Amino acid sequence: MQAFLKTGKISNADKPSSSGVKPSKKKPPAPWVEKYRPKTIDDIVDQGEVIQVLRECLAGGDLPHLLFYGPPGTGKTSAILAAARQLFGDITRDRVLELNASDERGIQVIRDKVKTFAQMTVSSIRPDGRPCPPYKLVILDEADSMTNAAQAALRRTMERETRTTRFCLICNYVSRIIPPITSRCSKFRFKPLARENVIKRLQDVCEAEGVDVGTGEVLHQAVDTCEGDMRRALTALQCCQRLLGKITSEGLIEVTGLVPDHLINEFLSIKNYNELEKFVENFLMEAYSASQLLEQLSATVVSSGHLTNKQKCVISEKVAICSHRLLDGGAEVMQLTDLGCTIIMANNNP
Amino acid sequence: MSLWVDKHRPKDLMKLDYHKDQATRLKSLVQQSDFPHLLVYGPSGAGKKTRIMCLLRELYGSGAERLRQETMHFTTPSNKKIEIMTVSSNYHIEVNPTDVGIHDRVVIMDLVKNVAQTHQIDSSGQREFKVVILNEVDDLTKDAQHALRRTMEKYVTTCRLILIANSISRVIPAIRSRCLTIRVPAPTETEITNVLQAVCKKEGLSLPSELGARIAKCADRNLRRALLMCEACKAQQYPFTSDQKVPEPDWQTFIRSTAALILSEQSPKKLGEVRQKLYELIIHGVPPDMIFAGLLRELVQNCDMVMKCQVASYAAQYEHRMRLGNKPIFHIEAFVAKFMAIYKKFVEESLM
Amino acid sequence: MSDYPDPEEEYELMYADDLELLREMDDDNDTNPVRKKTNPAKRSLDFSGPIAAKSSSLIPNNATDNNQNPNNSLSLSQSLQPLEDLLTQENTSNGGEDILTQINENLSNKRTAEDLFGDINDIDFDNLELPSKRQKTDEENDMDLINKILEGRKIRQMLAEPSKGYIDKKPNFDVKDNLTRNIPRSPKAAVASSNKFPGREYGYPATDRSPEPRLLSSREHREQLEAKNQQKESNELVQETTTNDSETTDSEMSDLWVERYRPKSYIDLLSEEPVNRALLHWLHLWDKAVFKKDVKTKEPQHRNTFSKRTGQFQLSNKWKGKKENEPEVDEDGRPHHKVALLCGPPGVGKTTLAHLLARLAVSLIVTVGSITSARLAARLSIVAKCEKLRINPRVLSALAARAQGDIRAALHVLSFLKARAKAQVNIEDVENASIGTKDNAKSIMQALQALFTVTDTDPNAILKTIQAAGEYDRLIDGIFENYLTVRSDSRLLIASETMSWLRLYDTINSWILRHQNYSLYSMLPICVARCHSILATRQPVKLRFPIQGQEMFRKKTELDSIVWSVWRGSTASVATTRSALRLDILPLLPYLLSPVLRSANIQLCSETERKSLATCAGAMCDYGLQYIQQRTPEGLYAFVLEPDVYKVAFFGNEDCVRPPPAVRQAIAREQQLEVIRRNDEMMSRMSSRSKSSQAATSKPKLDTKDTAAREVKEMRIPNHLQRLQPKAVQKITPQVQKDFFGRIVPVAQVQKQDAVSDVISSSSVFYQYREGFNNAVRRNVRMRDLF
Repeated sequence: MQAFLKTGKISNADKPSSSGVKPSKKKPPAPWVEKYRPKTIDDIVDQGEVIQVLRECLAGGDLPHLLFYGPPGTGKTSAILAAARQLFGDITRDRVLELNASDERGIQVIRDKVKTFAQMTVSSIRPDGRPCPPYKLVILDEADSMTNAAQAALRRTMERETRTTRFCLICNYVSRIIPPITSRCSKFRFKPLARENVIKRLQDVCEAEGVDVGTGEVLHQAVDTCEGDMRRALTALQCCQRLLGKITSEGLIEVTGLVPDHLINEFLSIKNYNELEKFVENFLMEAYSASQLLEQLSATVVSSGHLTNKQKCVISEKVAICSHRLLDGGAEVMQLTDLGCTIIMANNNP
Repeated sequence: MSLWVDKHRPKDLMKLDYHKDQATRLKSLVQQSDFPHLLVYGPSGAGKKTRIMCLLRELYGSGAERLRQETMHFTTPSNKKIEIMTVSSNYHIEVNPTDVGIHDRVVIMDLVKNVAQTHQIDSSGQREFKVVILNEVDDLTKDAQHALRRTMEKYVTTCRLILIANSISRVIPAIRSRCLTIRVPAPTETEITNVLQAVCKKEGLSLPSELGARIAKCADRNLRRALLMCEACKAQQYPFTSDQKVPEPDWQTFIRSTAALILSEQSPKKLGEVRQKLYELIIHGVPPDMIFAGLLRELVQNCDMVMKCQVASYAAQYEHRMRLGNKPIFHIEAFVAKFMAIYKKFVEESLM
Repeated sequence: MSDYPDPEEEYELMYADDLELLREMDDDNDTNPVRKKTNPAKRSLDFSGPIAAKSSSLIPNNATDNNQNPNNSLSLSQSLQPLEDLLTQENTSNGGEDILTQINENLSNKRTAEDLFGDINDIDFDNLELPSKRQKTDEENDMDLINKILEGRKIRQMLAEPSKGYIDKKPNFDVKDNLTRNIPRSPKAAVASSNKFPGREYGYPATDRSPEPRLLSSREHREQLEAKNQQKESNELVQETTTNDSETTDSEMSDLWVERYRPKSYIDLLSEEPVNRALLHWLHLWDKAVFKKDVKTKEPQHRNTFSKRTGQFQLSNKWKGKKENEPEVDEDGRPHHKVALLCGPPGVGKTTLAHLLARLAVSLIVTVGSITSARLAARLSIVAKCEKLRINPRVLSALAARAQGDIRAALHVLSFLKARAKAQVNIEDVENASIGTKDNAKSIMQALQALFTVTDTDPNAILKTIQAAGEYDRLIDGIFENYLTVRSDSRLLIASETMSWLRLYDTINSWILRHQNYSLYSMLPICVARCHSILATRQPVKLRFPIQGQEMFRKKTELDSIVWSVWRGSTASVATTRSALRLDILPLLPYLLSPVLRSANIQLCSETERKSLATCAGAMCDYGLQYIQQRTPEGLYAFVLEPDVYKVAFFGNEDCVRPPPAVRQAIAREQQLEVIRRNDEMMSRMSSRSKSSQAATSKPKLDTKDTAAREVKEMRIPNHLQRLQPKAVQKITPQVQKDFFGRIVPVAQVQKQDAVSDVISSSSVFYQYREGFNNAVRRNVRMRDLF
């Protein structure tokens, strides 16, 4: 039965409307993130030097092993995908192997899949006769989530197959990549995007989608809430548009799961334990996320005007501890109570 | 004749009792051409599941309400056979992947793949996707969550996921960013009271407003519990009186009595008695973090501010350790022992 | 709890890698043939002559040489010692004896099989098969032997458990012939039947003869018999005469029971049959290399045929980790695995089994499972009989259970009890016997005792004790259960300090298990040792053995299973998460299940009461609960709720809300009605649906019916059925489809079939239907099962 269904599925995917039963099936609208992904490296926003280097590499037709790192949503994946497309054109599919963290990437995959792919030799001529670079590209997205064993297995492959294969590793934290690999790659740091560039790009997208954003105030807010992460900003905008049919600041807060500012300020100004208990219960009943609160709290505390340096230190330290515990799966109510106690003590002894 | 909590569950988005704005938004979402993956989160008893069932009905019509239970079988890579209960209609399937513990990844991948590969033949007027509902996503292993994220992208044409979580703190950002997140806050006490009144009216009963308020207060903003309590009140005594006893889950009473035991005397002997009580709680399946929270709430009531902070900090620390460990009883008892030590010192000092 | 694999799963997970490794090792073996070509034994055993006669008959009665051998059961291993040096040695030292040459001549291929089985004469083939077997090929003989052994063994088991009635069913079966000589030189039997049975016989009650007289063995008598018995095995024992000459004759009585009752033949083995068989087979594979005779190795695909034929074991010669299609013998005719490694807890019979093997080699891993205590008890009873120890079978089984599968320990206890000169052994004796339990269990308690006692001598001693005890988990549990009582601790400072170390231990241990990283393992004993420095005292303390944790685990499992069954039993419409069920619904459900009724008779109930009763019944249906009539010890019938949610909902005071028996009965009745009602409803829903489709096809004139049909259509089938109908209109013939019972088949099914066939013809898209309300039991039937 299962095989029966599977064959049905495959043929269906290939020719979606062969049967009269189904009217022409429209593709589901692509996420804006994919739809408006930069097509060439020149479209990449705000990463001057990196793009400069890439462009030279492309012009020479040669590419070193690459290691892109930087905060999320700064264009790392977009850059390498665009570069690959420019390098290989329509044979990109055959020449590029892209693996990200959600694929199986244990040592076994590195050994089997990546190695076999890397070992294949490719010609320097395309099927249509035009020249192309005589190598393949392996893109390992989110490489910092690979195990050390897998990385170690990779390093041998990288070295041996240089002739036919280039690797591009993409990660947020370069420190999570083992040194033997970083030393084999040219490292490129992607800076957080400049605010005006993000806003400009968002505006472009909104225009193309026919979404009314008014004066653009909400776009500023979107950038603020997403801390310069272009992908998050775009996703948030799209979700908001979907859910509300328009883009408003409340909608943005709702879809991004942000904690409203007034709650953060309330938390920061708690003076006694009963208040705290009530606040915590209410906060959780409203289904806000404690880790989100901590994230926003940390920013608020640092920039807060009415807290002394000592208070800031004490609170920030506790915020760090509590968010670590939350990451380990600690109960939200406990951690918030604990943090709240620290805040009370700090408030009472400035 | 079912329980009120089942019988009076709203079936239509527009008939929901609270969060009406959200309901409207959900309805408009259904009417759009595209339907995203959803991540619905909120505390227990807030009505997440009710909303999702309404949403399904809105998507597929009442066919989505014809449910059946089935057991599905999976095989792990290590060739272990696992089985899991599913509830499904023609249009959706619902599972609790956490039931299979560390093998949740296999279940998620196989199940979604399975569903995604069976197409609707005829999509005229119907949705061209099926819906997979995953419960308790926040308790999934990290492994499973990563698998989920890939699955979401891969099978987006033929299936949509609706994820249910109590809190999104423990859902990885990658999943959050791929879903439309829908926050379902718990109903306020007023909202609960209103619902109780409405249900009693439908049942032809009259509920004194005071009793309604008391039930709502006892229910910890959990509508499911409130309705059950209300019906239990009715079963015990009708006509209602405004001062009648509201039955509440015995484990809550038991935690309170345990806390009282701790406060009554601080000695190793008492600690031994407390241990038996803690064991009882664990045996009855009360989640250890709820035991911690319940104890903390009761224990700090007689303390001064400094001590409250101290106790709360220990509770947070020990609870965190408990998550990393394997034997909850050690950590809870350690907390109790610590509290007893602090409390005894506090009492002795205040007597001097 | 379930965050990471339990040990078994971990093993599974790791196993794949191991397998791979193992295979790689095998491959290595293939490519590098081991140079063991010149096996010293081969030369000396290289005889081609047929067996002239049994060697035993040719050997002179040199009882005086042999009978003092305390452990003649070991003879097998000795017979398979490298024979070359042995023989030369014997030739020089015992040159005068002609045994040796006889042995040399008589050692034949046949002998190996006998070696393997120990003394196979104890099986009844001398009057069944012995004459013909000489003509058979060796392989056939081997197979026959194995079969016979199995048979003999089976019979013996039957004898040990006479309740099976095996003997009754086989009236012609001569029990005596099948007895084996495992125990004891029981003098009379041996004398009486030494011609018929080569020496070995059980003094076992099932042989109709009263065992008592036989057991009155005088020492001289016994010695004589010993001598005779030894004769039979002298081919084996002769080698020992050189080594064990120094033994005195009176050592015979002082030998340990463990030695005396050691299994002496294959069928005496208590260990798992497949394991024995596997080893035997493996040993047999050496025949070619050793005896230069062809070994019939089974082709990989036929390997299991033997086991099928006997119907006894599945495992026959599948070693763990052995590749499926690997030939069993390498190109030199030697088995692939050169080495067999037996492992298992003490006293399960490793040594004994090993003594049935030559020391030809070792690297297969065979785990020997524990002896079941029933088998152990049966054996113990035989021993007791022979030793004139009167002992209740119940006591024996207690002893067997206590020994935890360690027959050696059990025999020691028995011997000890006998030495205390008690003719009657009762259960207390067994319980109180401090000896005989496995040493590890004792050392946990010892280590615990040490933990709670101050040591002045060596500060590191405690750490050593802990490490020696192993099982840190048990130690930690022991500390946890005892720490509150050992020291006076009014301020609870010690308690908090101890608990902090226990917490640390738990965290580290979980981390190790979760990450499978043992680098922190050495920290664990240090945590335990720290507890010692906090808790140790000079006063003698009375410690409890840690059982609380296990007890709690058991109870938790019980309650979990109740929740689980409610969860599984609840209908789909009320399905919810288990935590909600456990925390919200189940705790409050009992209140709803006890409606207040003035009288038990439902006819006399008021309307509201009846309504609440109906609600209760409905709830029970929804959550799969049921009152089941059960007989109480007093002989009355009581209604018991199944699954018992009260246990989960309440903490010990559940009885206050349980409804009185009369109400329970009313509920049970009402629930049965409710079940019927629901079934009816479902049936009517189905038939109304079929009616509605009829309406659609045949266009009835009646307006009422039309509207009804439309209503139903709107209510029930707004989805795919609607869409399918237009197609069905052309297809379906108007008549109603009926099933076997004459019921109307729901149109959904009929249409579904049509739709599917239609789709198959027109497109390649298939729809997986899981619809329909069929009461038939659905199960998968394979095509090949139908042929």
